[in-house]
Amino acid sequence: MGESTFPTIATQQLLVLVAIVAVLAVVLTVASVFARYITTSSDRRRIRDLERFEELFGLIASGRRESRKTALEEVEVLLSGRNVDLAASGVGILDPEGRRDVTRLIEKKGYVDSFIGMSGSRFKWKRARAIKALGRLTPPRATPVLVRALYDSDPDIRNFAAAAVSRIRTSEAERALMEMLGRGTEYLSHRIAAMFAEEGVADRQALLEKLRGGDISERRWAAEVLAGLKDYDAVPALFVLLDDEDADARAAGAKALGALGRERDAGRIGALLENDSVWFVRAQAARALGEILSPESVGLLCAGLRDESWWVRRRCLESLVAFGDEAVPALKEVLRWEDRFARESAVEALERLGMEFRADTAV
Amino acid sequence: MDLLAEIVAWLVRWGGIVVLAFFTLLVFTLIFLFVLSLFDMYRRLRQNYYSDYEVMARSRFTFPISVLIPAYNEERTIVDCVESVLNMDYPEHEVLVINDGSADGTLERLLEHFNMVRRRVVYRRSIDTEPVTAVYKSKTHPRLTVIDKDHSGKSESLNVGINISRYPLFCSIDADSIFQENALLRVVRPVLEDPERVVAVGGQVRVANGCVIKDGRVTEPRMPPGALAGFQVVEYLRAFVASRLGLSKLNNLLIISGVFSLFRKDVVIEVGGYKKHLTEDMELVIRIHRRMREQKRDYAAVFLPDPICWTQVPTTMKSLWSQRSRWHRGLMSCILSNKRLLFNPRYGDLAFVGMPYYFFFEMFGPVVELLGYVLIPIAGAAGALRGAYFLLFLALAIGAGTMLSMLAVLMEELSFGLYRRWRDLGKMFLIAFLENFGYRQITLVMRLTATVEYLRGRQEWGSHDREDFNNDVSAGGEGECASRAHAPASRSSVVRTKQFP
Repeated sequence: MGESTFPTIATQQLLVLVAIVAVLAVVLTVASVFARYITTSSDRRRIRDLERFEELFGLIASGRRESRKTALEEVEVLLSGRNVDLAASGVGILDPEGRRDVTRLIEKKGYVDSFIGMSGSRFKWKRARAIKALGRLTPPRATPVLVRALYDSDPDIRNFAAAAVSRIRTSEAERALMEMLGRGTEYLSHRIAAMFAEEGVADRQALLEKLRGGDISERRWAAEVLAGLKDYDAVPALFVLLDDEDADARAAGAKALGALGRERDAGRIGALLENDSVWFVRAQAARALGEILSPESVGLLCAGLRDESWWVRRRCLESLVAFGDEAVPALKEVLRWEDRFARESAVEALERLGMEFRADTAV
Repeated sequence: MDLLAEIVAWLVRWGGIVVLAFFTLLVFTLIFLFVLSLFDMYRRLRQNYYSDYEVMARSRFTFPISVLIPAYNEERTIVDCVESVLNMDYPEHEVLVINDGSADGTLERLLEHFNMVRRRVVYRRSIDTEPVTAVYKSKTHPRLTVIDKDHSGKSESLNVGINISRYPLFCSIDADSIFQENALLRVVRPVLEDPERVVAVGGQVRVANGCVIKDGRVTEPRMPPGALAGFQVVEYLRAFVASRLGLSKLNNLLIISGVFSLFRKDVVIEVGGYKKHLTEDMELVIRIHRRMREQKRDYAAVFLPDPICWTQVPTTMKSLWSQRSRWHRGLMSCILSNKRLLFNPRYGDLAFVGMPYYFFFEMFGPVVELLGYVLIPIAGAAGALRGAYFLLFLALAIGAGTMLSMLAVLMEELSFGLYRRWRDLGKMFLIAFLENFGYRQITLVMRLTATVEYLRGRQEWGSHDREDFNNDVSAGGEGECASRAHAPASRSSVVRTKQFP
């Protein structure tokens, strides 16, 4: 009995399986074709809309009253839920007045309200979308929403919010970013510091206070930003940092003083290169001396070529190269030293400064 | 006679069970990894879309990177490759090409094209290596260094590069590869986000054969004209987009392809650098996993789907055979020399997920597959093979293989959609089906032969013929819409919005 029914069942199963596989293959193929069709047409539409927005924003930016008015009317007609993000991302090219006008149009159509509502969504990527758009449009009432997003539980949202808040040039926004500098993740601080370095900071006092009184991470980041902004008022606080017990703080202080580049600070930094017990502090000091380029540091840097840490020696070499011709006599002197590494470093530096050595020259 | 029949029956029965169980487990594991990949891909792509890479590209706080390019007989591709890396949008990076005693004109091409002069360089041998022959610096590209050394293999070349490199992170790429726009910024992102924890990052590797390349950039991804390279496109998609992303999500990724990987230099030096090995990339990653877990350190080795590196794949059966043989022998060597990790609770989930995955599915997979093929004639001869059941099993095997490949193609279409020509999409689907008839069996034979060679102690690398990058194909014209791949820069943000539903 079993013998006779067996193949029949198997054939049926086979047919069912083949049918399932075929259906799945067709579904996947259709899904891909459909996805391709949708994305192709959506790309096409987006590019068309973007080109139109660019054209209209160009007219708005041109400043001619008539064309501005016509362009704004056309923007209003063109705006839809599908392309409002594109419009938001394009307003950056407009002058403040143009941006305000376009933002008003977007507000008038209710999209700003919709984004503000979306910023409280429990779905992360909806919040991200809202934050990105609001960050581009920067309507005044979005500021508290974006500042709140800096404290979101999700680190991605906090990063997006930092980028958005940095575009709002108000003291409230700057304060919020300042508050976050050195707190939370390194990445967030990194982004905020990069933005401050690029856009500048109006309230330097707050940064200085952070440098003087924050925890080590806050002080380190404040030093980075102030040095990037070439704020010489930070120097006394940076000197205090050089005496800190924490090696990271001392290194940050040296690095910042190097970036500030005042020749008169070279002595303090040189002392750090000579005496600090931690290698990366000495390495930062050597690097700083290569940025300050005080002629008095050349001897110290040459001496640093004999440091026990390879990184310090390497930093000294790079800094000596930065001095250019000024370092040549001292480097030639190093060629006579007993320390082989120092001699070889001197040869490398001198070659980089244009001096020719025969390949077989013994060092 | 009866005894023989009994043995055959036993063999067919239990062999069949083993094959079926293995196959079922493999399919379910791959589906599980696929689902994990899907979620992670979605998250990563969205994260990228909302991120502001321009700020990172200008920031002086972005970690500098040393890009290491080991080169052995790469005269046909090396200049394009170096140009591609030099042109990367990144705040601070140096490029070190390590010429591993090439017998062709690799060194001469570099010296001439980049106007290089010999320089003395003081460096520390953090990892023990043979001395270098010469170091050259470019007069026109200050960030480029070429290191010449006697031929001693890729791992030694990378170690030399690590010793001479200046920055705390290094990225190794193959000399027959080309970076996608922003690849460095994207690959470094996990390290910026979590510098203490992330020790290694792998990027996605795609097939460059057939693509339109201009000025060291893939301007229009295309399916290669040849069948062999075409099969590998789908194969790479399946491997990178599906399984590696899933394993990475579990922090169980044992392979970070040397074609495109980023490492923290201190960690690599700590574990002793690259070792001379057939698959030095995998060997290093396993050693890092081991060290981190033995010392109970919190760490992550991450695979990312979005930084893309295009590489040439073999186009002749001989070089494909050579490559696959090396990969499989390398895999066996890595897994067997670390077998004590298997099911050893000291190594946490790696011992129960990552290692078993590579041990059973990747290493033993070919043997079990062979068992399946061997059982068929035995069962047939013994009269134990029921035609319908055989066909049922065959349909299941082919169906599952095709589905997984098609899913990978669909995932590519939904995520990157790099291949914009309809005919390329059609080709990928056709390949997803056709690879089950011939290509799969050929690669099985390659891996089986490699297994035998490994057991007999063969250690050679084999060779891989290089071709010029497809520089002279005219771009554009055939895309159905403004192609995302070669859309103008100002459109790129719009174009990328496509990646999200």
